[in-house]
Amino acid sequence: MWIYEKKLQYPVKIKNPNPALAKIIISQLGGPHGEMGASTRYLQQRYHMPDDRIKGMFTDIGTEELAHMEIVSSILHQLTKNLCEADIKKSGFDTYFVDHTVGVFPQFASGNPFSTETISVSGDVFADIHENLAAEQKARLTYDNILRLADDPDVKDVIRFLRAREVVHYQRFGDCLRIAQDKANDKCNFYLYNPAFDCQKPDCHC
Amino acid sequence: MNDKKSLLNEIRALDFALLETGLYLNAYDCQEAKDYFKAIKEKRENLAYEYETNYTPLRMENGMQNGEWQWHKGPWPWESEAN
Repeated sequence: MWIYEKKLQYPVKIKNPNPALAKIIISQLGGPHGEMGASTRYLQQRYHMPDDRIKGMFTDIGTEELAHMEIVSSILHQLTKNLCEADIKKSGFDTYFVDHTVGVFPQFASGNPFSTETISVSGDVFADIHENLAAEQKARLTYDNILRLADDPDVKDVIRFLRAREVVHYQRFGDCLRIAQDKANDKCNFYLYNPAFDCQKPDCHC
Repeated sequence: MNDKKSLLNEIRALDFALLETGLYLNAYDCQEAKDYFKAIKEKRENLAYEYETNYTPLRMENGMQNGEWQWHKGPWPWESEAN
């Protein structure tokens, strides 16, 4: 289960609404490298992880990604507050507004809705950890691109925090890979079997 | 008494230290990290108690303060006034 704590992990206080910027940042909520995909991916992959240290890491990083969904959503909410109709037309926010008004809908910057097609739960321990290492890099590069396009210091400060977390998560998934490989190598070469499926029966001698 | 905003920011900073150390401890059995976690945790508990009793609950389990249900009262975290 989860317990809600009534605070953001990192504060979001945006003075100037900017719907054009919201149209870009929305990708880190529901886009191909976004926080919704990240939390869903790690929290759904944890069930087949073979080691307690890795189960802990997937649970804790997946949980932190939920807090990041909340931070990105808070940015979007504050960037689209107190808009007049002229702002909406002028900024190009009109194509979003017509369907969602100023609700915070998880979608790509291109307009596609969030899709689990952007994540993988392969059931293979090594493939899934490698997927997560790549996912952290892809989220990092998306934040880099947002920093290239954004000019509001209130927004950039929060994006820099989120970007730094991707780097730390990458390090921790690297620890998970090392732990899983070392443990599998104790038995035989780690490429010869999937610890999440093979060798699960007590009488298995493979 | 600390003011609401700086107290909340201090709790955020301590929570960040706990999370970062906790993730590290999942992978490494490190005495220095364990000692650090313990010290930060104690500090965090004291500040959270001060914040929840003087200002607003952080968790629903502490939603009753001074005989009143306070949990649902805003601002909520995504609103700029809360930050």
